[in-house]
Amino acid sequence: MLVADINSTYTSIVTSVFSTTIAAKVWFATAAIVLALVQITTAARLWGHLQPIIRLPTATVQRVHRWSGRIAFLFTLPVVFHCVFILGFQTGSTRVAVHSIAGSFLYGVFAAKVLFVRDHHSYPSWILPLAGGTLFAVLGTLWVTSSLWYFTNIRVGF
Amino acid sequence: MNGDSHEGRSRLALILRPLALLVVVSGVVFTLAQLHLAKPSVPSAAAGTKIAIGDSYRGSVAFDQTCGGCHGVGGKGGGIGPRLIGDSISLAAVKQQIDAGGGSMPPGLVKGAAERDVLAFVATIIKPPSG
Repeated sequence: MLVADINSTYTSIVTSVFSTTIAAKVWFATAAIVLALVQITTAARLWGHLQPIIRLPTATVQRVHRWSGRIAFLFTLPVVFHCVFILGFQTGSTRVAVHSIAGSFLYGVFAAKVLFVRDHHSYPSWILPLAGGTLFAVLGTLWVTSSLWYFTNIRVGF
Repeated sequence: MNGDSHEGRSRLALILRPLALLVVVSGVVFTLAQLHLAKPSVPSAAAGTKIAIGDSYRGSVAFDQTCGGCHGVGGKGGGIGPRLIGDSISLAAVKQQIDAGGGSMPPGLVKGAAERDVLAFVATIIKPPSG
C-alpha cells in the first residue's frame, strides 16, 4: 500500500507539470548537466583559465560555482529517487546497464568530491580538478544514456 | 621515527577516507537499487486477468515512441487515436486491438516483450470496466 502511494504520489507531483514521469526526469537531468557545465567553466576560471571569457570578479565566480553545484544536486534528487526506489537496478540493454552502473556511483563520487573540497589543503592541487572532472564524466554518462537517448529516440518535449 | 609513522598514518587516512566514502555511498545506492523498495505493483486493470504484462516504465517509453503519435503522450489523447487515460476498457480488449488493429490503427504495432511492456503501462492508465 505504501509502495503504491509512493508511486502514485510521485507520478501525481511530476505530472502536474510534465506530461510523464520520464519527461520530468530527462528535463531535471538536463538541468543538472547544464549546471554541471557551469561548474566546469567556473572551476576553470577559478583555476586561472577562461579569464578573457568570464570577466566576473573571483568572489562572484566562487558564489556561482557553489550555488550551481547545490542546485544541480537538488535537480538530481527526484531523478535518483525514481531510478533507485521505483525502477531499481536494471541490465535489460547495454544502455540501461551502463546507466545503472554509473548511477550507482554518482553520489559516491559526489561525496568524495565534497570531501576533497572541504579538505583541499591536505591534498595535492590536481585532486580537485580530477574529482570534479570524474563527477562531470559520471553525470555526463548518465545524461547521455537517459536524456539524450530520450531526446533522440522518443521526443523533445515537456 | 614516531613522527614518520604518524605522518604515514595521516597520509594513509587521506587516501582511505575518500575511497571509503566512495565505496560506502555507492554501495548504499547500489543496495537500495537492488532492493527496489518501491517496485510498482500489478495494476488493478491487470489483476485477475491472464494477460501477460511486462514492465510499465519501459512500456511508457515504448508507448510514447510507438503509440503517442495518435493516442498522445502518456495516452492523454491525440488527434487520431482516442484518449486512453481513464478509458473504461479491459486489458484483453486493449491486447486484441494491438494484435488485430482496428479503425485507423494497424495491427501488430508492438509485439512480444514490447507489447507486454505497453500493456503493463496501459493497465496503469485505463479503468477496468465494472461488473
